[in-house]
Amino acid sequence: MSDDAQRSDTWSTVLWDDEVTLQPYVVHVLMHRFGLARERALELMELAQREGRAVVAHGSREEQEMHVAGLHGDGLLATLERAAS
Amino acid sequence: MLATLGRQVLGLHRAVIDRTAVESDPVMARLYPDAYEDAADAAEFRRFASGDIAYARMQSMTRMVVDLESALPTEEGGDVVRIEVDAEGADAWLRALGEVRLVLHVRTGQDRAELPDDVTDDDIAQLRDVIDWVGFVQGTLLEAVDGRMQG
Repeated sequence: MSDDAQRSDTWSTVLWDDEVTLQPYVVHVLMHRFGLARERALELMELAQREGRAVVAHGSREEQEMHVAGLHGDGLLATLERAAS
Repeated sequence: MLATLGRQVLGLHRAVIDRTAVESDPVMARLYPDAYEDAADAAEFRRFASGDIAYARMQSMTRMVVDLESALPTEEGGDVVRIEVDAEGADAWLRALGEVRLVLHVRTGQDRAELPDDVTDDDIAQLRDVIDWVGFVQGTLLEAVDGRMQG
């Protein structure tokens, strides 16, 4: 881990577009894992599809690692990275 | 069929827990993707998180396999079974069905040279049909759980 990574305390969970997973399933996961309204979950799913990726959460690194682990367990592609300041 | 596929996927997760998983297998790369762009960070994440992820996945997949294998035949006969699931069961099923699709998608997209010699074109075409069918089942279950998608 670089010094920069240790200094920054805000991290983002990034959801990546995925050609296999059914769209309603992605929406379902976002609603239930992040407690999002259907409209917001739909928006994020469409953003990921359009841009290839979408930030779906941010906060402490530990929290985002839990989100990413959860999303991987749900079969989605997700990474974490330092939030853009 | 679905129960058999589920059992095979269970074997993949078991291998992750036993630390015997083949990391170069594209199926493993899809089921346990890198969590970080940086390779060292990704490896560290795998080391501490993949066991728990595999365990949770085994729970979901086991639920589906057990439901399928304990289903009684219906009056309609043939392969038709009726399975009732509660909310928790539906969640496990959604994850398990998605996982079976992912595994089949990666396998059917692999180079023939990477697959066993006895796999025929017909086998691959059949597996593609299974991907569609499992997607239909997952989609139907999602509609029942979340209601019809808007837009």
